[in-house]
Amino acid sequence: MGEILFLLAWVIFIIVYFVTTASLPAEAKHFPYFLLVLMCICIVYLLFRAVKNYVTGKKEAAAQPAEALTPEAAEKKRQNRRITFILGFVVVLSAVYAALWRMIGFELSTLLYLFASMMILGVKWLKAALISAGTTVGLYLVFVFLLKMNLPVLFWF
Amino acid sequence: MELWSWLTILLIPLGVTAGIIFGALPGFSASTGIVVLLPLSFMMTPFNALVFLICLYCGAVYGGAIPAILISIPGAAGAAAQLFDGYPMAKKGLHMEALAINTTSSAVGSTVSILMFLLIAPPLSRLALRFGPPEMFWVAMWGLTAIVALEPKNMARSFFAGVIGLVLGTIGADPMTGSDRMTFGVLELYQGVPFVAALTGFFCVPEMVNSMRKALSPHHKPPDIDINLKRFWNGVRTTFKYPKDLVVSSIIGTVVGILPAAGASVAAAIAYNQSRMMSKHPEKFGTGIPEGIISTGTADNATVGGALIPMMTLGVPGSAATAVLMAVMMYHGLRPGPKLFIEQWPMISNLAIALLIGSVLMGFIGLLISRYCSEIVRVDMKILAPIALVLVALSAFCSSFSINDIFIMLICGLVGILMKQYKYSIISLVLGIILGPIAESNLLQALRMNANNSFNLFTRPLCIVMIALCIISIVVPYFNLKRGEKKMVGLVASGATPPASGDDPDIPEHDV
Repeated sequence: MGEILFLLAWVIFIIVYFVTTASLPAEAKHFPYFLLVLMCICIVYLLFRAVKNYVTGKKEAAAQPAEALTPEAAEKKRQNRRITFILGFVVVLSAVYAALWRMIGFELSTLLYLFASMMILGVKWLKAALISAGTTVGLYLVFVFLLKMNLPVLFWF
Repeated sequence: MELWSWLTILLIPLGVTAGIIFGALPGFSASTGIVVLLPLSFMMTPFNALVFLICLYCGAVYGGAIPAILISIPGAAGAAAQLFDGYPMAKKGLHMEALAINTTSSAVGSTVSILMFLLIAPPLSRLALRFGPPEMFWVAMWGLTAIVALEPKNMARSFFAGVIGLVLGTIGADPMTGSDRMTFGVLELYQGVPFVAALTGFFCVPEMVNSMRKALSPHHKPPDIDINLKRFWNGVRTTFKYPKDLVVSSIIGTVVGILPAAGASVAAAIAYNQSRMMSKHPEKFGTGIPEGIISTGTADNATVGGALIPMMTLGVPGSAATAVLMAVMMYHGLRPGPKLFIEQWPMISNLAIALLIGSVLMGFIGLLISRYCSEIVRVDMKILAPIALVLVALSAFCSSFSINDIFIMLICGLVGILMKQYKYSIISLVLGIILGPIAESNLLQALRMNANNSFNLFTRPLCIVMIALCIISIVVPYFNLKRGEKKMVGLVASGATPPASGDDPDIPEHDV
């Protein structure tokens, strides 16, 4: 089911691509239209295959008697869900981190991001704090002082 | 000459050492390493940046074999072949011999391949100068079809990913009319998808998320390795007792490296088989013998020089790492292709000399830092992955000094995570982004040359050769797969145990 949703997202992308290229001058349409045709052929084939696999899987599951989940399997499922949730949180945190660059500067946002991600991933707080601070200072020294990069910094020393 | 400046001389060992460390870290690869350290190269001259990053590439290819030998986790796809004999030798308690043999043979393989680069690349670039826009369009298509064919089991998915890459490559101003396509008013997209942001997003973010997933698993525990230096030099001496394996594997590695998409894993497998055929005791292969390590280690690193040949002469990257290197070259205003060799020959020849020095140094550095390798493979990814994510954000930002590039990187990263999840080839997509503009501009020029008639795209002699190569690169792997499936069915029917699948989740898929 996941792959079907993934492919449907690409269908939306293809529609958007078609709409935006339709307004282009005729000369600029050759290559995008050629790619549109290729994308359509691929997506139809892949969607057909994904739906077929999904239906076959459902039928096979229905044909087999329902088995109760073993405690180990249930625990594994719970663990996987927890890990996916943590990783999703880290990805969201990364987006917040990028947004914070403009507001509070590179050094403070990096410090907060590193500390928060390490804490979420299960690193002990003192270790996380020390490594985050050390890394931030190191990156600040290398990129701002040594390489003179134009980073959005809060503090200029 | 810039080559002999103190900074360049310093950058060679630095690049090699950084590469070895990145290669040895499970979850990192040559391309990830290059992308993570990319911001450092922005402050360098184009020559120094290339010296540093290509030395890093060379070191990372070698470093990937270290965890393969020590803990049976290849740091890169090419190093997977070290599981055949490297790991069995380490299991016998001969870690240091195995590491020393791999280090020495890798240095030899790399050196020979760079010499072959100097020999083959200039005449090839002169031949490539005869290529007009129609031929260059097909060269770009060949690069893409060869990568698509890399995964014959998932060819449709890889092809789709490649087409999506080509589509993403068309974002920005149209090369003929200048009208903007799919930019949605985002200023950063007018000049096309930012290469560095896209590369960091597609390559590094999924790898880091994957590393964090493994580190969070309750079954994950850091490996324990005992390092003993006593028998180290025996390994070095042993390597040179097999000159035939060294030479043959170097040639195989370079030739396979030239072919787009074939890459280190294919080279190592072919060299291993060749070495077994040449051996007086082929039955001992797989039990931890030096020839097995020599052939795979030599061929693995010999692909470095080979992979640089099509990238530099034709502008077609054959692997993830060379794709990243090509993006770096373009960032520094160097356009890989036949003209590069004429316009920048002193720089290219100096680069090759720097790489030769780097290859020799790689042997010494590898021998020196092998004792710390056990520490490298024990690094906690819960700490390293967030730091790496900060570094890739810096890479994306420093390429254009725009915070929007970090968001583009994150979007690409999310798409990359989903693509990895559903087995869509990320490298096909990235190559599509790189080759898309090349293919489009050459196609449009070819059409203009012939008053919008596409006839010359299919009738020029070199075009026919390139079309044939495109077809061969798709058809041959497909039929090989079908033949393999038939064999498997036969084995199952006869009651024999079929060989294990090569789909190792620990091997980075893009490091070809």
